[in-house]
Amino acid sequence: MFSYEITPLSNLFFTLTIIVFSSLFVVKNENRDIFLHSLLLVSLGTIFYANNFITFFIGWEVMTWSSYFIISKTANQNTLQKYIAFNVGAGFVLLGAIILIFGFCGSFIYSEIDFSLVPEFYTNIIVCLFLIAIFIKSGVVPFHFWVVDTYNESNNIFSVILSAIISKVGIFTFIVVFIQIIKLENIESIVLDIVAWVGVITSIIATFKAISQDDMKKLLAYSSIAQVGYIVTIMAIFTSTAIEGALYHTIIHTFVKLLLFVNIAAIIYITGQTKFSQLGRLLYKYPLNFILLTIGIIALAGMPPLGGFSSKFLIYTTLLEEKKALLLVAVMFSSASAFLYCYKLVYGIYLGQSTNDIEQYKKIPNSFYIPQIIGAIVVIVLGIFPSLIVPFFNDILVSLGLEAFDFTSIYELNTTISSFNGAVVMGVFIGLFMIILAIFMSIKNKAIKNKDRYDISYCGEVPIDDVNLHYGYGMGQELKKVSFIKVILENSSSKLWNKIEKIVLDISIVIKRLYSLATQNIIILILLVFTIVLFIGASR
Amino acid sequence: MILINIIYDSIFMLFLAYGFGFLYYGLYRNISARVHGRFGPSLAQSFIDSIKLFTKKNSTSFGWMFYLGPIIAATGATMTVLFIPFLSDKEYLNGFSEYGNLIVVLYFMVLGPLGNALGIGSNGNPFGVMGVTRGLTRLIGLELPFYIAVIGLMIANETASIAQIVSNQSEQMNIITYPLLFISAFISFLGFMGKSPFDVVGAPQEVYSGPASEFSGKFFGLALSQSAIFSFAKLLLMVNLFMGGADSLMILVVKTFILFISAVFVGNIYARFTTIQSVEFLVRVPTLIGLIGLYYV
Repeated sequence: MFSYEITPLSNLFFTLTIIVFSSLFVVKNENRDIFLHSLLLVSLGTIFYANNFITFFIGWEVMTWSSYFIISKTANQNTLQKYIAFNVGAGFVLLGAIILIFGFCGSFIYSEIDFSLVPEFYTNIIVCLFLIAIFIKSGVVPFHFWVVDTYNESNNIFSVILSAIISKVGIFTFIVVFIQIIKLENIESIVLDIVAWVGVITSIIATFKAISQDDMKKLLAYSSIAQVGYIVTIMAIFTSTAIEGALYHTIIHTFVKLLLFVNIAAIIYITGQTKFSQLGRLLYKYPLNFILLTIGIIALAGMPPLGGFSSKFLIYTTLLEEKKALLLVAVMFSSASAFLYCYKLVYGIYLGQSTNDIEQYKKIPNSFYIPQIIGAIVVIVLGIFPSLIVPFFNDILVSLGLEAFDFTSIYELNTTISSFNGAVVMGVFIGLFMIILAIFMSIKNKAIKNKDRYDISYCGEVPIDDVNLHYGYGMGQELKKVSFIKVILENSSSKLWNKIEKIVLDISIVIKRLYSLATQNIIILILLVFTIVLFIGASR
Repeated sequence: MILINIIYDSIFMLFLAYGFGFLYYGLYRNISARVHGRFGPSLAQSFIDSIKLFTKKNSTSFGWMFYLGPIIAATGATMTVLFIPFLSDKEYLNGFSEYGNLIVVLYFMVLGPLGNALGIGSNGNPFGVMGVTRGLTRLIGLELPFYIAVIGLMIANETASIAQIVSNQSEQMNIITYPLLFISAFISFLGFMGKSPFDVVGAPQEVYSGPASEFSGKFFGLALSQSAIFSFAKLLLMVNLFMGGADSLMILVVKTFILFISAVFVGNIYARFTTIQSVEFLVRVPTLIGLIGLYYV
């Protein structure tokens, strides 16, 4: 029943998993349950290396339940119910799709499934079922209802795994199911267009929600949703540039989220505070942590000269190649708006004015720096050598039956639309930075360092303790006044899911009544069902 | 050998950008003064200001991030200049433009504001951050129409290389081929240049809040110089994208001047929008114009 196959794609995803797990293993964490974490790791390996749907599904379920038990240690009842309702739902939907495929194709093994045997009507059903399962796992709007609370309430270190790895399982499933098994020619183009738009709408909604958060982990959770939105959009394009862009962004996002979540976990560990409004001015207390976070947000925002730009570049050029102008406008708009939450993240924690006595905080344990440094090194190296991983991607693309990518040198990332040289960009950046720094420091004028935190220009007045000087944590509040952002911020998918919850409750009350019927009525009911089944069987 | 040539090129380009940036800033002050019925300062005044600020004896520092912020901003501005070709079809004055493309340049344009924002955040002045927040919020509105125009051009030319887009305009400028895209980009451009009605209040003027609240002495000098260089870079980008680039320095000066003077005139006519108003306006009118333009690409 369990059978596996080693493919370049599974190697990539499992390598990411191993790096994240092992780098987090060194981090100080009192609540770590080795057994459950190992079980999760095994289940992820099972998913990535499975060569048939049965093995895959077992891995999927074990993943869901092992993470449920890990989350259950810290999360409250409501969050847990949300998590399990959605993820078990995803499991059922996935099972339905797998059984339908088996019904028509007669095999669970990926390579033996000939999807063209499935009638057209059922093709759409299977595609929809898979999409729902993937959307739930990756937290795509409107199925992101469980994501934010779960990320926020789980253990600070486990949030990294949720964001960096478990959200990527959906991406992996998409590539395996849609490219390897269902194949492009069996999917209607309208479905792909819808998927692309769902992805980009996800990223826009999540970006604005992220900007308005006061909670650090909630901000990062929404940012994860937004980044996965880009990946979903780009995957729906289906060309080899698109899949390459999606894989590239997966790698960047995994490492950036590893860096950012661990950074924030360190701050929460030291200060016990989770909100921007209770932090501030930690820059001079924890300079290394600040620099690492800055590297993280530059990569997250996709700015050159770091690796984040390479993946954004591939995303943009794919959409340009396919002439998807409106999608591209939406993606660029969303990623431009992301600067605001990136800045909020660094300002709220490290800059501005302190809202607490920062002298009381202890040193951050060194173990917290290891995963962050790994993340930072990866984004810096991929910034200088943007094509470093292109040969690996080419293996994956060829194994998926797609065209390999043009590869000339590791410094240059080429697409049909354009190319850029990462080493030159990084070189010019560092060169100019050093020159300007040298010139600036050689100006011999004295710069007097301010002594007191109240020593600022303040309209000719002197600020007092009661005044809130840590202004920027409220960033994003003013966006509520902009009409189209107000619509996004004031509405939430919880309304939809609350309605669905009510309907389900009503139905379950009706079903419950059936159980309390008298014995003779139940016998009549069974007879009725039996007759109907017989009738259907006979008519075939 | 190539490297040395590029370095000479870059130095010359930066000098040009610095010179023209401050020259245009001086002109802007003069023209605005005439519109207000004043005489305004002499053209040399903005150069004098810049040098004077660097020689100020005292300035206040708020720690190392306060140093790095303006330096990163200046790096972003100078990089933007070096990755945009000054002259089309020429061996010189093109800097590093062949190693980058339009998407890279668009992102460099955000690096400067980010550096600035980090520096301002580190000084702990709430008014400074108020300015940054306004600036970044306005950026959400500004970038939408600008990106629509740029994407329209990239799709029409099937390339993201600036040099290619320039050489495709040898027969007809994009401003004539795609007028609607130009209009939407120009409205955003007003905001990028800090002109009314989409400007953000600077600290030394009227209201005591804005990005530059705490900058003094050489810090302010650097901030001012980088903004002059940066504004020339933006002029350059617009000229390359919509006005067919330039064959010689003379044409470059004429074209950037025309673009600049139209931005100044429009800026002098309108009163300032609040941040919310400008975002509301930008996501409606110019975005709609841009989308119609995009449809015809």
